[in-house]
Amino acid sequence: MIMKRTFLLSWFWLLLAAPALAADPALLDAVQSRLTVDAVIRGEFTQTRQLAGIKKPLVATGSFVVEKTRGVLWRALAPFPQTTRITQGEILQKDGERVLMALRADREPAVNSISRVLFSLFASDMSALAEYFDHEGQTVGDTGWQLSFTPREAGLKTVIGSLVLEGDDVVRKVILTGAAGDITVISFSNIATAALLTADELAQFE
Amino acid sequence: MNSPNSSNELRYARCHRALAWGWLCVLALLAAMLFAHVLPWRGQIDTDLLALLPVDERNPHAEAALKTMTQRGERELALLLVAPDAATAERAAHRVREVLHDAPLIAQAPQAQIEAMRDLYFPYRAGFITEQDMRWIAETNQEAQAERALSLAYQLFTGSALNWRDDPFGFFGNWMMRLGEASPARPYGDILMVQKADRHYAVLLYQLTDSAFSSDLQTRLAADLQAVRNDLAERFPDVEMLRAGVVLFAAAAAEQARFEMSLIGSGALLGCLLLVWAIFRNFRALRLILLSLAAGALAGVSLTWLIFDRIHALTLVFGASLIGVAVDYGVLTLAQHLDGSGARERWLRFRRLLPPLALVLIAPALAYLGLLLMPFPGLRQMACFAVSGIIGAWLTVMLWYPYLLPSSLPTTPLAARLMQMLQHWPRWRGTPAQWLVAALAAIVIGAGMLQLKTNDDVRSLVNTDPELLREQVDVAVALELPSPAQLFLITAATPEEVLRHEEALLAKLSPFFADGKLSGYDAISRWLPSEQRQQEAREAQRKLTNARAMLAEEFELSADWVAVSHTASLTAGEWLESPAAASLRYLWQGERDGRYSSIVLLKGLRDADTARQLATLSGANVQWVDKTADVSMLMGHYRTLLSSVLIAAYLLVPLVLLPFFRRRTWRVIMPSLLATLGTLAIMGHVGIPLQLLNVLTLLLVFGMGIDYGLFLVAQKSDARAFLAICVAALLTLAAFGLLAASSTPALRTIGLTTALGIGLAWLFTPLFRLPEPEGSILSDLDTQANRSSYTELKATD
Repeated sequence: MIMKRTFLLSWFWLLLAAPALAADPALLDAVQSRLTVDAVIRGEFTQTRQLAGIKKPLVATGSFVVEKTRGVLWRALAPFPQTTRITQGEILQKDGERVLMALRADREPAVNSISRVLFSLFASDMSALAEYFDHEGQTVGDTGWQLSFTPREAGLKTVIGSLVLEGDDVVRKVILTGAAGDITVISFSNIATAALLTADELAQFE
Repeated sequence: MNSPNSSNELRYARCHRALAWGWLCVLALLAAMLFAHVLPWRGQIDTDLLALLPVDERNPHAEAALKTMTQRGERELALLLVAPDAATAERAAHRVREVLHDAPLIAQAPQAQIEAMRDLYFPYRAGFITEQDMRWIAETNQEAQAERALSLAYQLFTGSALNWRDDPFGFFGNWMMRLGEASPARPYGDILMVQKADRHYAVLLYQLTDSAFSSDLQTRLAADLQAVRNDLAERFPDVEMLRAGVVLFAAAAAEQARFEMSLIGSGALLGCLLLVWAIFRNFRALRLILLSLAAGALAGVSLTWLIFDRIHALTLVFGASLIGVAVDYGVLTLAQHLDGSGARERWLRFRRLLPPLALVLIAPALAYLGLLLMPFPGLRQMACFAVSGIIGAWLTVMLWYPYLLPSSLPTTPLAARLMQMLQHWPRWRGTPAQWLVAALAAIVIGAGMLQLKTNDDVRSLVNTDPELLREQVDVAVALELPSPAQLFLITAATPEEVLRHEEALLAKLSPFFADGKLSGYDAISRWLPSEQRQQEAREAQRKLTNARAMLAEEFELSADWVAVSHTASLTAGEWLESPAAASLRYLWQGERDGRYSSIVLLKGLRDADTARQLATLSGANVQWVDKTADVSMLMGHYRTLLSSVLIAAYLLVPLVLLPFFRRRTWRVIMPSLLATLGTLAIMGHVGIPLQLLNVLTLLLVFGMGIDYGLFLVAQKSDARAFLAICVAALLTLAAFGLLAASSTPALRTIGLTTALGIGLAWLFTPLFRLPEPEGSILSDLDTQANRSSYTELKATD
């Protein structure tokens, strides 16, 4: 339970950081126009971490569902199975059916903002991310794009060195470099978009 | 006239002339000093009511702590921009920053610098673990411990802002996260943001470039904030601005005080001039009255400034109302010259006035000297102002009037009518009917005094703008600000002991936090655990050696990594010197008399019950300080002390007057005594509580009342004395009546009580005038020096 909490705490640090205004709305608009308008994105992820001082890369895999208005279901399968559900007012971690941790916005004011950052990242809301980061990048070919984000504020800089996103109609890859050097690469695969959640998924959001 | 007498006369005249010139020199010197400092003094008029309060000498540590808090808080200004969404609040905040660019403000770093904190703590991180994690270490085995670290290694990234290798269990990250509880404000871009329900508050913190009580700064700031308000109304109509800061209240109070000071000052002056003109119809008389007033004011202001280096608005208001006292002497002198003629008689009449004039100074001077002895800065200042002002006016009358008095001063119809009024005024003769009335009055007065309540709450004296107060409360709630006046003071022999006592106190406070009686705290030990606690944390980490060995094997890490680093502890000295701790340093009070101290501030303290429970946590090293309660207690203490001064004055002054007035002394004392008792009775009946300031004004009533009685009993021509008393009382009533209309409760109290007291003294004085056949007391007062002229005068009569 505590370790999961730590995952969230890392996001907490994101909040101790923060946003400003998009400097280059034209680029963001161009990227945003290439992204799917579908509300639901499903897929699998592979997360590879390269930790400072450790030779062996650490790989975790799982699947995810994003519903742009409801939230994110992040289901890690290996090596540690667990589900994280991020909704507007709450962040809930489950180990099977057992609730490991519930953070509610009405108890911890930061939770609302946490959801916001996570939403922005997973729901590919580039202009929302751009509030927290300086950005640069370009469109690639007819459908691709690449954006690189650097935290604008000292607090965020202590946690994140940089955030790089690549994709086309969806985000395909996230490269997150920790302020101290640990690197995390998340690749998304088997991505499918849809207008609606399945009944089962909907139930998990309720 | 024989020769020894005329040589005496000559010597006296020469001496008087020298003194008159001397007084002119003194006044010129004072005026020069006043003008030389007029510029630097501009805007240095205190308006902070608390500046008048005495220092709590019983507890220098607590006093120093509160002083630090006050000084720190005094220069702060917080502006909160409330918007429905964070982005709007942030844009509005940026705009406000732009508009305030040239304001007399320095933008403050939002809060403790988290990244600087991390760098400071990094080498000592093994000593920084939350209690929860300490328990976890104690309760888990090496497999669970290794699993935790392993799981963290697979997370998106570690939470501590350190690499996984440097914080594999996330303990340091958790500990750092706890620091976030210190404030609800989170950086949002380069702005601090607080979110409460669906309202977003952008926080702008500023430090004033000058004192909050500087009127220059207040004026500039008011204009700048108005500009901000206008700008926001135009650009961000849905953004509300909340303001909080001592300076805002100080500015409002100063503006109020300035307005009232000029209103009361000019009102009293105008009333004074009109009355003097109506009574005497003589320009010269008017000029003389103005002269004595100006001399009194000059002496009062310059001496107070010279001695105290500053002057409080309340002193000035009090001073403005002293017009009624200072003018007494001039009016008395002028009244005695009604219908006089010729320069020679002018001198003689003036000489005749000297004894009572000398005596009238006794009562106020004694009363105010009593005030001067008290360790109460505000009262001493007022006393200094009063004594020097009254003496200034008195000296002017004594030394200059003989040369400047008009050669003839005919009785005007109004003056004649007033003097005739005395004939119809009842006189105390001790008849059975009068005794009956007296008995009834005694019952009414007694009943009123029994109902008299006291109120020493300092807050009842302060007038606060309700709109500012609402904004201040909103800001305090949004930012979860601690109470600045109620705190714990921790004192011990070493910094380390201070931290340990803080930790012990916080443990005792945890039920209060759990019950919601308190919502949070600010304390150094949140940021800097005691060395003892750091040591315990490092001991606990040793239990992780096996888990670390397993991890080292898994991740091919060196044996060096496995051994938990046994670093030294982070000491208070190093922490305090670090720039990262700069914004928290106010919690540390440092060393004083070989003892170190710190303060623990509490948030969400609402009810007096909780405060009482907190007070019971006091011990040898921990002390509960409640400034509001302390000040109220001090006010009560000084109310009692001042009451004793008043009683002592009533006992002492008759003794001083006894040699001059013999068995008529009671006639001098009775009017002011009855006025004082009557005022207290009316306050009791009406429900005005007795406060420190009431008692102060009763001292004023005492002084003036005695003067009235003295004039009337000492003067042969009591109609003229009565005229003088009428004029003086009317002037005082006008001045204090205006004060009673003030919106500052403190001033209203002074005004109301004094107007009541003086009014009553005025009514009672003629009641105790001498019976006609007894003649003047003057024969008793005659001194050797003026006997001859007096005999001469009698001859001319």
